[in-house]
Parts: sequence; structure tokens; C-alpha cells
Amino acid sequence: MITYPPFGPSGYVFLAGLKDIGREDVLHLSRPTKKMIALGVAHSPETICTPLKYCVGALATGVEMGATEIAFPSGMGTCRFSMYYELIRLIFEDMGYDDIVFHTFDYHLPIDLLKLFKNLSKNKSYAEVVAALLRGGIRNRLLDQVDEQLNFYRAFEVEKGRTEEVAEEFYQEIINTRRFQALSRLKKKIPKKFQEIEVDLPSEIVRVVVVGEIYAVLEPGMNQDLNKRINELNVAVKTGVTLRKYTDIGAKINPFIKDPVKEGARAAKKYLPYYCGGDAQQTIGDLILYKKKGYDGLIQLYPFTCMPELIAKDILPKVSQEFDMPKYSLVFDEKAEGAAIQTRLEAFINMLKRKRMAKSKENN
Amino acid sequence: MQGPREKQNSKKKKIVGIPRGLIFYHYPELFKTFFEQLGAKVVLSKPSTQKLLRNGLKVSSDEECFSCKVFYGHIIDLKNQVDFLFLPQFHGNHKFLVKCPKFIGLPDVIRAIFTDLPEIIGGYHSRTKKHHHTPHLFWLFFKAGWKITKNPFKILMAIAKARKKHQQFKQKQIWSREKLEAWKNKAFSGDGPEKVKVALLGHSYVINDPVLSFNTLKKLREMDVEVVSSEQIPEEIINEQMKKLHSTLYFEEERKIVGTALYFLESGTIDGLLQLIPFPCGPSAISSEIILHHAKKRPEFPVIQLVVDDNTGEAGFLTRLEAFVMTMKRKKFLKFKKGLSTEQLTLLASKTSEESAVKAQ
Repeated sequence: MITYPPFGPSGYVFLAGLKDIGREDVLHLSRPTKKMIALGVAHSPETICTPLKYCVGALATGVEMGATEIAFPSGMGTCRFSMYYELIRLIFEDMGYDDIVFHTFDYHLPIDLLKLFKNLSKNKSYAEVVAALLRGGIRNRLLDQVDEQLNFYRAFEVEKGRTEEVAEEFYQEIINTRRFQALSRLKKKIPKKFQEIEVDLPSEIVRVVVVGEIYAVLEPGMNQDLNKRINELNVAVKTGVTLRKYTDIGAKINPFIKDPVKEGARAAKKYLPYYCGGDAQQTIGDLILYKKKGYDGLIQLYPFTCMPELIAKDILPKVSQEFDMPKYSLVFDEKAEGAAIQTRLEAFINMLKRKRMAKSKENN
Repeated sequence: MQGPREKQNSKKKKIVGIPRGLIFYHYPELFKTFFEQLGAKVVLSKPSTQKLLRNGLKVSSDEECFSCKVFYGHIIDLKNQVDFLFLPQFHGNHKFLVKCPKFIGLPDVIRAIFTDLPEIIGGYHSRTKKHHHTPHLFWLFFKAGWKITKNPFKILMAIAKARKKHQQFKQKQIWSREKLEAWKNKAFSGDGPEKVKVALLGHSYVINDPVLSFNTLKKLREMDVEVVSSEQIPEEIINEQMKKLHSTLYFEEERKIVGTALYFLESGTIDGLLQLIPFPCGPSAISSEIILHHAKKRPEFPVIQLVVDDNTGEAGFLTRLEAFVMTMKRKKFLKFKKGLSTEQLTLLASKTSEESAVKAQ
């Protein structure tokens, strides 16, 4: 049985991809529980970034549940993420799991991903594996689309929980659809179905963009369901970071599709001109880009000791002042509790609402 | 009336400030020689002191790496006395071996935090980028030199002389394989027990900085300990040890640290390993875990990892260092006692009791 680390709703791409290449013995861990986190913390170094602790805990739990193979990326990058594989191997040796088969690939190189999938597949040809990878990219686009609609309609829904039901249905449909034609039909179906949800829109819609380190933004188990909490305060959310930069190979080849990473880096040129790992340039670039799109505020999420995000965090106050866009940096570690961030979140959101009301009064 | 030569002499020399931190310790002679050869006056910031650190703490955030907090102090020390501030953004000159991302990002943070900086001479080079080969490095040196002199030949000569000085520095610092093997296997005997041999592991900008390292090198030598640092191990030995890992360790300095540790753990002919980790160093979290994992296989080998940050008290740090050295010294002393005859033992016992009686008075 094969398993991989949990990655929020974007993790469904891995599940669907493995099913596509013929593996039915997939253990999908949907969300890191408190028990998993405690296990990970007990066996990981203290000052390592928090995503590793979550991954170790989740993978160890997967092994306890019967997994015998683990797929995890490695490579040579700028931040610490590419060294996770080495640490996981050592930690698993210490924990006594000696007969686990590890599959690794360099996540910067799509060719490596292709080779990995070919190895994992049960007698599939290269053509079928390439089709599975392309399908994965398209699925990721659709999952992002569902999340975008979810994070807007959930803020204003009349019947509590309806939007999440619709989103859950779509997740399952995206995982189980295989034909390219059916996937492209889904693209039109998704916004239509969400528009049918009954909403109560206020006179002024406050919108917030959430950026930062990719795992902190995409994994609700790490950011304590931040998007849901913001929606419950009647504010719409957009996530600025996506897993598409690694999975969407089709978009990389297509020159007509804008690359959000490159756009963000270009916008941040004056403040952080060179790539220093992770999503640091995007954090700063997105503040500038989303201010232009009319968003009211930016929230930066990052795990404790994340090196690139600390660099961005130190530059953010100056950019925020120059562009008059409120920002808030939230740090997460393994002890993060929902109640603790709720207070700070409410304070920031209330400030944004007041600012919006004052501006609309001025205009009237 | 002033002739042209007198006019040149009366023209003030341009002052270039180089902060004494981070990349300075990787290339202590290179940049200084380069700017001096061009005719500029080079001012290094003062060596780190507690006051410098306190100044740095006023502007830095809490979660910043300890070495960066001290670096801000150096910037504050320099910024009002120089015309140019030299802040290169040098990620690495190897296809995949790189330095910590702070080396790229810190100058950008400094530009954002400080409002009254002099003109910055910088430049970004990362060999991991496809078009950043040696010509790009030359181009950056030219751009930097152009701010001091408009004479291209002078710049070329300055680059050559600076490189030569840097090669000399490296030759002096890095031991040859033979020298290392000899040191590793040698028993430093005096008229008493053997001297304790320790390998000091850490980044060069931590080990050589008096505030960041709490003067560990000096203190170890005062305690009569033979020290070799991870900076002195030759590259071929490091590369051999790296084969023990499951994937490539691409942080340059962590490679040296882990390679040194694995080399000495393998042979077991030194007495202990001491690793200095600034809090919250990112790459050190990785290297410390790898070293601990391999050290567990040799439980009789003392390994200590001391975390330092701005809240570390000097007294507490010194106590732990002394305790570590005393453990190893005691082992040496017991070994020495074993090898003595009964007569020598009685002589030694009376000598030590005399000494302790004198101390008590």
C-alpha cells in the first residue's frame, strides 16, 4: 500500500493520479490529526520547519495503518524542503520502520516525476503515464477553481454548510473523472452550480488574499481552517499560492496561460529582486497585484523559522505602507491553536471592515 | 595654481565599508584586497561586541537568525562613516551547492529597514542559474570596481591580486589530507595526561565571531585543548563522507560540518565533537539531526550541540563548555593513571594534594 503526505484538498491530485496509473492500493491521509502531530513532534528536530513535523507524523501513522511504500520528493533547492527526504529516512530508521520502500524524485524536474510514475504504475505505457500527468495538472486547476468558489460563497451563504457540501461533491467528481472532454465540461459546470447557492450579499464585500508558505496556506490542518474562520466573519478569501506550479505541466508549456509565480516575482522586483526560496517573492508581489485588483488586505502565513518567509516578512511593512494595503503576518508552529488565532484574526478583519465602511461613506 | 598631480592627491579617497559578518568570513582577503588595489580606503566594521549586538537587536525582528541580528549591528556601526557599503548577494559558485538563502535576501531586508544608507555596491550571483557562469562573476566585479575607478586595466589587475590573496588564505586555512591524518592519529602527550582533541563544528561566521561563538575557540585553547574546526577539512574528505547520505546535502557549510563529524565518528581517534548552532538556524537543524543520528551508533563518543542566541547567558554557556571538556579530560587522566607504576602514582597523589592545599589557602 502506498502513501504520501497530506496536502489539503490539493492532495486529491496525488490520489487521482495514482488511481489513473492503476494503483488501487492508495492510502490517502486527508488531514493531520492532533495525534499525528504529536507523533511527528516527538521524533523531529526542534527547530526544523513545521511541515516536516506534520509529514513525519502523518507518514508514521500511515505506516501504522499498513502502508509499505512512501512517495516523497527530494532534490536540490534553495530552502530546506529538498532535505526533508533525508531527514525522513533517518527518522524512520530511528523509529524502527526498517522495511519501508521509499520512492523519491527531484520535484524541480518533470522528467523525474514521469520516471517515478512509470515505476509506480502497473504495466502502463509511457503515453498513458504522460496522459495521467497532464490530467493531474488539469485536475489541479479544477480543484483550485472549486476552492476559489468555496472561499467566496461560504462567506455569504444563507444555509450553513451548503457550500461545503457542494465543494465535497465536486472533489469526488474531479477525482473520478478520467476523460479529458468530461474534465473540460466540469470547468463550466463548477461556477454554475455554485451560483445556485442562496447567498446574502452585503452592500460592501470585503476581500482578503492569503499568501505565504505553500504548506501553511494549503493545509487546513496546519492553519487551523483559516479560510473557514475568515468566511465565518463574512469576508471573502482568495488563496494566492497554489500547488499548480509543480503539477501543471500543461500550463508551463502553454504561453497563453499566465504564470502567477512569475507575475508575483516581476511585481516584487523593486523590493525582493532575486529568488530566495519558497514563495517569498510571491508574498510581496501579491500585495502589489491584489491591491490593484481591489482587495482590502493581505494575510501572510508561515511556519516558525521558515527562512524565505522571514525575509519577506521583514520587507512587507515597507511595501504595505507604500501601497496602503493592510497586512498581517501569522506564524504557525506545532502548538498552534484555533482559539489563539481567532482573536487576532477578528481584530484584523474588523479593522478592514471599518476601513471599508469609512471609505464608502467618503465616496457617498 | 594646483597642477594635475597635486589635484589628484588632494582628492579624497573613496571609502568602502565591509561589514564583518556572514560572507566576509568566507572571503576575508578577497574583497578587501580588491577595493584597496583600486585605490579606495576599506573600512571594516569593528569586531562584534555586546553593544553592537544590542544596537542590532533594536532594528531586527525576534525570529531573525542570531548571526543576522549581529550583522545589523555591523551595518549600524558602518553606515555613517563610509561612502559605499559593500553588500553582495552571493548564493554560490557551484552548480548545486549553495549558501543559506539569507545570503541572497538580507541585503534586500537591509534596504527596506534602514532609511539612511550610503550607496550600496552589490551584485547577485548564483551558479545554479543557467546563465551565471564565470563571465557573469567578472562582470559583477567590473560593475563594483567601476564605482571606484574608471580604469578597466586597474580593475583587472585588482581582480587578479585579490584572487591570489584569497588562494593564499585558503591554502593556509585548509589542511592537507596528510596533515589531517597525522593530527587525527597523534597523541599529544605532555608531562601529564594526553591533551584532549576536539573538532569544533559550525559556520565560519559563527566560529570566528567573538559574540556569536562566545569566544569558544579561544576558551578551548586556554583549556589546553587541541582544536580543529570544520573549516579546515579538505574537500576530498568531505565528498567521501557525503556518500553515506541518502540524498545530496546542498548547503555548502552544512556539508563541511556533517562531513567533518562523520569523518571523525568513523575513525574515533579524537575525543569529542562540539557543534555551535545559532538560533534558529535553518540548515543547522538539518545538520544537527544527521550528526545526532550517526553519533547514536557510537554512544561512547561525546557529542555536544550548543545552541546560542541573544538570550544565552555567558556563564551558563561556559559551564556547559567546561563540563564537556572536563568529561574528556577525566577520561584522559584515568588512562594516564592506568599506565603509571605504583611509585609514580604515589608521587602524583602527593603532588595533587599539595596543589589543592595551596589552592584552599
